[in-house]
Order: sequence, then C-alpha cells, then structure tokens
Amino acid sequence: MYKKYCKGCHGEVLEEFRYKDVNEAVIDAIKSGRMPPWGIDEELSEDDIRELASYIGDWCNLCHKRIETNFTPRELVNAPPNHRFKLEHGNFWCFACHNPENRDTFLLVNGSAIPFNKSPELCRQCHAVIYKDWKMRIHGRWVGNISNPTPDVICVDCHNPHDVNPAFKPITPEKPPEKPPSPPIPISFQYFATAIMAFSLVLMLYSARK
Amino acid sequence: MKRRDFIKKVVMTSAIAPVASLRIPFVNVSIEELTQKHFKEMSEEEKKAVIERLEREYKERYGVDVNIKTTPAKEGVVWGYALNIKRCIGCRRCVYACVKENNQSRASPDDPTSNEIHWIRVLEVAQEKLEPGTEEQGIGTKFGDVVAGVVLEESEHYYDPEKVPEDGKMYIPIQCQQCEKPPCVKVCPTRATWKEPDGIIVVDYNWCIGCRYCMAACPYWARRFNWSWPYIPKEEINPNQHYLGNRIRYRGVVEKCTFCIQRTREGRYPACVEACPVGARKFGNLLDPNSEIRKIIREKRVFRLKEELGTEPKFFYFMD
Amino acid sequence: MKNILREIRYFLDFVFASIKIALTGDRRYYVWLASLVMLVVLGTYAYIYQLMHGLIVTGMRDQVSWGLYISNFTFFVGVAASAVLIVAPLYLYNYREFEYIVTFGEFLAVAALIIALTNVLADVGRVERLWHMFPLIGTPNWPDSMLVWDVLVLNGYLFLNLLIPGYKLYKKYIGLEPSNWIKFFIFLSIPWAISIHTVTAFIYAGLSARPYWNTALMAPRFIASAFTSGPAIMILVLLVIRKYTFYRKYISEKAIETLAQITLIAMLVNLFLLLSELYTVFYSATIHQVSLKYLFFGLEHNGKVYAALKPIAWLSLFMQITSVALLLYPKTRRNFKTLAAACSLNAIGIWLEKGMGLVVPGFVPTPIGEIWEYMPSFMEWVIVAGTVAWGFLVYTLMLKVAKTIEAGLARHPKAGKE
Repeated sequence: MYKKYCKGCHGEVLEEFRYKDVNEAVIDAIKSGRMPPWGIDEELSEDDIRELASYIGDWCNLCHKRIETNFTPRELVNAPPNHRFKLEHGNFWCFACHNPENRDTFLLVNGSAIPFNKSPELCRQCHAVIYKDWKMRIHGRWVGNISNPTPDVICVDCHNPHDVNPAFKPITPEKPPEKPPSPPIPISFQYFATAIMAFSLVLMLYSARK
Repeated sequence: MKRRDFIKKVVMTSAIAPVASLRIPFVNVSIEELTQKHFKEMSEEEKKAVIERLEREYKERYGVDVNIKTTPAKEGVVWGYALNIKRCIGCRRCVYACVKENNQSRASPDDPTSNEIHWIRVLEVAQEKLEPGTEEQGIGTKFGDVVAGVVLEESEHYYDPEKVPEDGKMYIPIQCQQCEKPPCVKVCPTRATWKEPDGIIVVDYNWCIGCRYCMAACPYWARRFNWSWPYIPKEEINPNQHYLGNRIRYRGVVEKCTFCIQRTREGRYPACVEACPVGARKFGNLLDPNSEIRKIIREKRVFRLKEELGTEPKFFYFMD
Repeated sequence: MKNILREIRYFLDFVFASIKIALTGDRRYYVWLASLVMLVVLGTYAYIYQLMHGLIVTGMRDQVSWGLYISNFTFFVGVAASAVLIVAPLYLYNYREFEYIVTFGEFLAVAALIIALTNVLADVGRVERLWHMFPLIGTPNWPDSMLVWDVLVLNGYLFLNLLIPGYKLYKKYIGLEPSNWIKFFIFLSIPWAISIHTVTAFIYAGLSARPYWNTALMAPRFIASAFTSGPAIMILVLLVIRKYTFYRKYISEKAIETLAQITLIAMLVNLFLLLSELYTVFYSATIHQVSLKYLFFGLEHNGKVYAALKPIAWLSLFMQITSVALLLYPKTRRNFKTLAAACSLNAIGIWLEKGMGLVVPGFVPTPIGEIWEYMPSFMEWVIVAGTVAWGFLVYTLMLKVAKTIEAGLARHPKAGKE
C-alpha cells in the first residue's frame, strides 16, 4: 500500500520507522477519504488501512516537528501541494485551530488540545447554534435506528474547513421525471375501428334518409 | 382441530381449490384473489394465507422470492416528517432512492405502455422573478409581474441543469403529506385507503377499485395510478416488502408514499431520509418530545403546505 | 295462490311479447339497430383491449386523472335527472299534454343512466372489484364518500324509472288500470331526480383540493344545465319520432312548445349562473382563477402556450347563446327545423361545457402547479361511442315496446276479459 500511494514522493521508509500504535484519527480520515489529501479510489480493506496508517503515524508531527513554527500569516508557496490553498474561512490563520505545539491535535480557545477526531468541538466554538442543531439531529445526516441514530458524517465531511464557501459543492442532479407517455394504440385496430365507424355512420345516415 | 372441522376443511379445500385458481378472462384475476377480504377484516390466519398466495404470485410474475410482512404500527408512535427547505439542493437523490426502495414502476426502454412512477416530485421555484411591463401594457407602472417565494403555478418540475443548486432557485420536494385529516381517505368509496394508528395513510392494493377519486381529492398531488402493469427489472426488485407498503402493485390501482412503512415499523429511517446528501430530511416520532421532529417544530420556523385547507399534514417544511 | 300464479304467467307473457315487439320492425328499424349493435361491438372490443392493457390506452395520466369517461358520466346523469321535467308537470300539475310523452322521458332517464353507469365501468381501473363498494358484501365508505351516495341514488333512480313505466305498460298490456301504490313511487321519483344530479355535483364541489370545482354554485349549475340539455335531447327525440314513426299523432305541438320553453328558461338560468361564476372568479382574480383562465384563455408557462380547451370553451359558449337566440324568437322556436337546430346546439354546447369543460380544467394545473394537457385517445372515443350506442339501443328497444303497447297495438289475448 505504501508503495502504491506514498513511495512516489516520500521515498523508501525503513521497517523500523513504522509506527506501532496507529492513530485512530488517521484511520478515520483514510476511511472517509480525507487522507491522503488526493484521495484513494479503490475500496481498502481494514488491514490495508492499518498498514497505511502505520506509515503516517503522528501525521502532521512527522514533518512539523522538524520545521520551525512561523506565526506570520502568508501565502504558502513553497509548502507541499496539499497545503497550498487559500484559507477563506473567516479572518484566521492556521493556528486559530491547529495546535502549534503538537500538530496532531487541535487547540481550543480555552487552551486545551483535542484530537483530530473530536473536530466538531472545534467548530462548535463559533457555530454553536448549528452544533446544537447537529447534536439534536436537526442538522446533518443521521442513520441507523430512529430511536438511537448515529451521525453518518461529521462537519468536515461536508464543509471543508479551509474553504468554507460554498458550504456544499453543487452536484449533478438526477434525471427529471419522464413526461407522461402517450397512449399506445395498435395500428391494425385503428384501421379496423375507423372502417367500422365509417360504415356505421353511413348506415345511420342511410337509415335516416329513407 | 375437531374431526368434523377437519373433514369440513378438507372437503372445502378440495372442492374450492380448483375453482379458486380459475382465472377470469381479460382481467386475468384468480377467483381466490377476487374473493380476498379487506385487509382490516382479515384474521391473522387469513392474512398468512393471503401473504403466502401473494408471494407465490410475485414469484410467478417476476421470478423473485419476496418476503411480505404485515408488521402492525407500534404503540405511542405517530410519525412526522420535516424538510429543511433552505438546505435542499434539488438533486433528486431522494426520488430515486424512493423508486428503488418502494418498487415503483420504471419507464421501460422497449415497452411504451409502461409508465414511470415517482412518489416524490421536486419543484424548482425562482426565489424572485421580475418581468418588467411595457409602456403600452401597464397602467402607469413598468413594474410588470413579480413572482417571489412559492408560487406553485410558476414552478418547474422538469429542471435539468448541469449542477444544482442554481443561483436564485429554491427547491421544494413534495410527497404524501400524511394528513391528519386526509381528504383522500374521506372520499374513497371502498375504504381501500385509511390512516394507520401511526398516522400513515396506506392503500390496500387488493381492495382499491381504481376510481381515482382520491387523486382528485388530494391537494398535494401525492397519489399515483398504475395506468399499466408496473415494470421493474428483476434484479432491481426490493424483496423486503410490506403488505401496505412497497409490495409490487397491480395494474389499475392507486399507490402513494407510506414513509417507507416497511422500514419505519422496524425502526429504520425512510429511504429518502438516508439518501439526502445534505441532511435536509428529518424524521421522527411526533409523540416523543425529544425527537428531532418535535425539536424542529419547537425551535425552527415551520410551515405546512396549503394549511388553509385544514388537512393538517404531518409533513413540515422548515428553515434554520 | 292462484292469483299470484296467474299474475306471474301474465307477467311472463308480457316479457315475451315485449321481446317480440322489440325485435320486429321494418327494414329501417333493423338498419338502425344493426348500426348501433356494431358500435356496441366495437366499443366492447376496445373495452376488452383496455381491460387487458390497463387505462394506459386512454389519454388520462396522473396529471389529469379523469377525462372523457367521467365527463360523459356527468352529462348523462344530468340528462337522466331531467326526466323529472315531464313527470312533475304531469303528476303534480296535471298537465295532460305530457301524458303521452311521459314514457319517453322515463325511458330516456333509463337510457341516460345506462350510459352514465357504463362510463363509470369504463373508467375504473379494477372493474372486477366493484363489489367492494356495495352494501352488505363490500365495505362502502358510507356516508363519507359521495361516490357511494352516487351509486346508491343512481341505481335507485334506475330502478324507479324501470318500475314506473314498466308497471304501467304491464297493466295496459293486460287491460287494467294501474293501482294507486305506483303513485308513491312516482312522487318519490321527483325529488329523487333532483338528488341524483345534486349528489353528482357534490362529487366535485366537495373537493377542497380543486378550487375550480369547490364552489357552492356547482349543484345549481348542474341542475340548470341538466334541465336545459335534457329537454333539448327530449325534443330532438320527439321530432325524430314524429317524422319517422306511426306515433306522430300522439305528440302534440303544444307539448313540444312547452318543452322548448323549459329548455329556454333553464338555459337562461344556466347562463346566468355561469356569468356569476365567471364574475366572481375573474374579478377577484385570486390564484384560483388559473383553471378557468386555462379553459377560456389558455395558460403560458416557460414560453409554451397551453390552450387545448380554449376552442371548446368558446364554441360551447357560442352554441349556448345561439340556442338561446333561436329559442327566444317565437318564429324560430315554433319552426321545427330551427327548433331542432337550437336543441342540437344546446345539447352539444352543454355536453362540451359540462363534460370536458368542467372535468378537465379542474386538473389543470395540478395541485402542485404542473400544466399538462389532456386529450382523449382514440380508444376512449371508441369506448364512449360504444356506451352511447348501447344507451340508444336500449332506448330504441324500450320505446318500441312502450309505444306499441300504449297505442293499443299489442294486448294480452285475455286482456279485459277477466
């Protein structure tokens, strides 16, 4: 798996550098297609996912531990491709959400760090009303048992936090309904019926005459 | 069983069996089917016999093993539906999820007599439309015609753009509103359609005579008629069926949305709710104060279609 | 016991004699019957085709779910109701001019009811399940459903209109005066006639989903239009009978004149009610005007014009007004040629207005705003022609029997001797 998806850019990684404890957040991210950033088209088995995750490990810290943190907002021109986007989400810079101390966590305003898979808590800080709606199952997709449903998706599955507008990307609609079909009539019947009706009419006129 | 009853039964079955399977010409209906009772008047035993026969008939006609349930409504449950009209993007995913789940007739590529049936119709409405009048037309104003908000007569049913949602457009999916005071039930001459204890309006497809009075009476255009035999490709038939819900219909009877009775009575969401990519469709128990539907009614701006008619739909449109 | 047996024997004699009378006639009679039978056969063939393939062979669809069948049903229920216009003057006001034409009216009601009911049979999707709505064996939704009411009152009226003239003819045949108990049924038939058309109007008027129908004027309009088209058809029948059969001497010009005046007055009332409807709808110009607008002016949606019924609506109005003009002027009213023209215009005008003009616009646009135009399919026309021919066939046979017996040309061999 690593060979197929990662080796092209990241080169050979020795067996001993692989992570023993795989990060559950990374597994979630792979499953929902958020990781790796360009996505994987095929269906992955559980083992494949775990294998991939074992290479990713601490995810962000992998690189960022070795890079000095730069707090100045700027355009990221020299960053890797998946980091090169324009942040359009409010008037923020990365560290409004990402934890500069530990890149594998988010940082809440109150100073506590939370793991990636708890991201709704992060969104909640501003979007409290929507978060409440979501918790009340009024917002978002909920599946499973009606009396005890589970969320099918979390915030970031539909709303990319980096470019939040439009909230939901336009999609192609399914085809419109068919117009009502016109009535089928066998041709033979048309001829037959017309002939008989004409004949009856002639007969009636004839009978009326005499 | 008493001996006399047993003999009676044997004699009856052996005498009636050959007659029962006789078929009336042209309409192609067996005596057994013709003399079937109204669903609500059947005993449990009779229901079982009917289900057995139906499963056999579907097997003969469509070549599929189906499982027809008669699960009754749960106590203390009245289903309600809510649709976030601001979130709906008009993608019609719900329409086709419904078609698939509920075994609706498809348009056949080679049979012109097959008619397509959709229980959900999505309307595209312009949020505002201004048609400036000309000098000659108007009496003093160039304002002309304004259409804003929901004018159903101005809606487009057959929209087909590259991508939805389009700018300046609103989408209103309409399906059976499961009225608390349903006009369709009131007018049915044979009691073939009725309101179940959980609030769902159902049709007994073996009791409906196809007079289509209910279609004329429905203010939401929610009822569909089988103008011909339904056409469903064999591999697309959903075998999990309910007698009052998604079992395959007959020529000449009326059908409608049942909030997926075969799913909801087992605690699952209707197919359209699960199919909605934006989560605009909400479903829940109106009698449960903690259900999402009750919370929506309490906290959101809610309206119902054609409220002035007093039909009291259990289908709510809401906005954040 | 002996009396009862004798009564039964007489009645059987009556039935056999009737069949014999009905099936004997001149060449013209046979040609007329044969052409009607041919239409019935053709209609039956088309109906069987429809049974096998479903109502897809009609022009109706989910958008417009009632069409020509129900239009015809509505019109002919009206024709049936109008028999009361001959029965009531005769029995309530003792207007003797109608004495000899009363069976025409009663049997016209029977024929019209047969046409109406056959159209219902053609319209339902599952005809073999009709027993579901019958009392005792089925589960009729009574008293909620107007359709159940309609089936009850229509069949009751059919029974009354078979019983009353049938009984009188039977008595005449065996040479006796009818007993007094029949009067009860005669007087019952008068309000009953009004009721059948009122209930038929209520089928439509009770639907809040269809603003076009949901008007209190529906029943009065139905009665008015029935009371003009019914006598108009009656006059046409009488004129034909006067011209071609031996019975001409019994049909007085005065009776026809009275009928013509009834036609005229009812038509004026009908037009007045139409005007009230048009005024209320168009002056207030709410969103509910859309169906009537579709009928008279057509609708435009996305640049496409939908106006299939526009010519029909205006033609119908033109026919009705012309018939009023012809009937108002005494000279044209008393001239049988122009009277026939006026009555034909009247009947066809009402048929258009009350049939297609009433039923179809109720569905356009659909309650959720889709505009789709209905046109009857060829198959529908054939089936409808079959039902009408079937009604005329029954009418012809019944009239033949009635008039032969009434003229004293057929009597029981023992009539008057016991």
